[in-house]
Amino acid sequence: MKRVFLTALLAMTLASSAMAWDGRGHSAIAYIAEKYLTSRAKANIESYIGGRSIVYYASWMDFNRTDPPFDITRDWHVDYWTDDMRTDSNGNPVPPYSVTQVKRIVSEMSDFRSLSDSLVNVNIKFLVHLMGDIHCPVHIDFPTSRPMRVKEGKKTLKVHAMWDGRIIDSKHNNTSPSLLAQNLDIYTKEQIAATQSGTLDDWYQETVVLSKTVIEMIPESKQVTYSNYFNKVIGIAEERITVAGYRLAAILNSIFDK
Amino acid sequence: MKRFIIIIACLLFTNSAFAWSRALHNAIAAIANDNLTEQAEANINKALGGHNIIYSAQWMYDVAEEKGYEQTKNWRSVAFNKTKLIKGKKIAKHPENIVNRACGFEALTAAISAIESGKLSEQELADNIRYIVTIMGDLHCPTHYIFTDMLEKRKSYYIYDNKKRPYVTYWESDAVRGTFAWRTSEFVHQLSRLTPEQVSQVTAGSVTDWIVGNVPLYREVFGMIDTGTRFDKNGLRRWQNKIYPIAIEQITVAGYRLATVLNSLFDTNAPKVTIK
Repeated sequence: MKRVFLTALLAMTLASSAMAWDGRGHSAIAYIAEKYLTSRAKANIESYIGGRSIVYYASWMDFNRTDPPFDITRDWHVDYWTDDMRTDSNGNPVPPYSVTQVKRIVSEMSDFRSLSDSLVNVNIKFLVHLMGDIHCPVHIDFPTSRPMRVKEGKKTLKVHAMWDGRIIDSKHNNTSPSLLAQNLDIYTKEQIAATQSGTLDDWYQETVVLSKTVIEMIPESKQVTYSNYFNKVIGIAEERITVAGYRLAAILNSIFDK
Repeated sequence: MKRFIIIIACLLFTNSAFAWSRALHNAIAAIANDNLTEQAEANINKALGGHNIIYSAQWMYDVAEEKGYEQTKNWRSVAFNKTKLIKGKKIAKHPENIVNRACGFEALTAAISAIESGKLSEQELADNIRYIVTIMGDLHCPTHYIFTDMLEKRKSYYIYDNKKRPYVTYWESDAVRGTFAWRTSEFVHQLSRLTPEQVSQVTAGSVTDWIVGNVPLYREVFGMIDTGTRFDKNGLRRWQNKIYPIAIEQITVAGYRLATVLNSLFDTNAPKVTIK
């Protein structure tokens, strides 16, 4: 391909998906990850997804959450917690859905060549998306935050919806997904390695902590502005997207670079 | 200045409302630009005053109201009597106004022939390149195909969020833009990646083969909506999941075919594309 990144041309209004990071956020995560895939991992991955880039499937799980057979994934995106733990309908603690699924997929894919092509294909799509969701603070949802609404000017927003796209928009409005990825991908080699150390549980625990922090930072009046909220949390959102990309690359390389 | 003359004198009507959105025309031109040979790209950019074809992706729309370019409003669609392309004098004589305006095939093939003739002024050459860039995009959009037995289908609409939304408009933009948050550079990165075998497959045949070959799929597209269908969010997504892959495929194919036509015209070593 002669030129991958052509001059940015006319702005296209973004149509935001309703759940998770919006389409741009998930695409940016996949773009960052794609940059750090080894050539062997990238070739292996693309051979299972019809020659497409992983970015193409960044939001595929959001598009296919309501139809069989993928309606079983509907609950994989967000973990609903009660106080300090995730519980089932009887109040019994259960491990987070998203992390459980990623662990299962990583384990299943350890010998990906023994799996059917279609299973590898769908597992790639799951990983690309879920690693983004796991790093989104409002994907850990508490009884207190769930019904919470904020106002920006006269506009009322669900807290979850605000985090899906508005926070990133507050600073990166009209930035394309690939440019957003370029703008965020500024870590040194050492810093990237540091983000990729630890376990999936460690990474998830970071999100648990932040899930409370970003709610606590909402002003009591629930009226959010640049100065009292967006400017204070934009760094968190940017960091979560960036780190998600680096870690997605690490997971995909661990599976496919062989 | 004398403009190149379309073989058929298309009647002038008000601006047709249907087209890919500007963003998607950019995408098609960008995919094509990514697949031009060096020689073709250099010759084209020289003819366009140093600009690449992406710069001109929407030019035909921009000049549609200007004197001397009014006829270009009628170059955005093609008409079919069921599956048979309506060509030549039959377009102007057709009783349906929408068919009278469907001169896209004539305009495209005339522009190709005009460039092949090598007898154009600098301005005419630039104009005809720009015509080809836009028309090749339009003629790979299903809603630019006027099927005389399916005219009622063109009025189809769906209801979402208590608003009536025309199906034709949905195809122009929302099918893709409601799915991907991409800009032009992302379209190139995501779609300009066909294998040589796939390129051979989608660019095989003549220009006429391409346009007529689109017909079975595009007729199916008009069967993908029951007018008045009311969608909730999940229902719309479900429906969209069936439509956006078709739109993405057509944008991709349009880009590669546009590159093939332009390479044929501007690279002496490239395979020649025929009209018939």
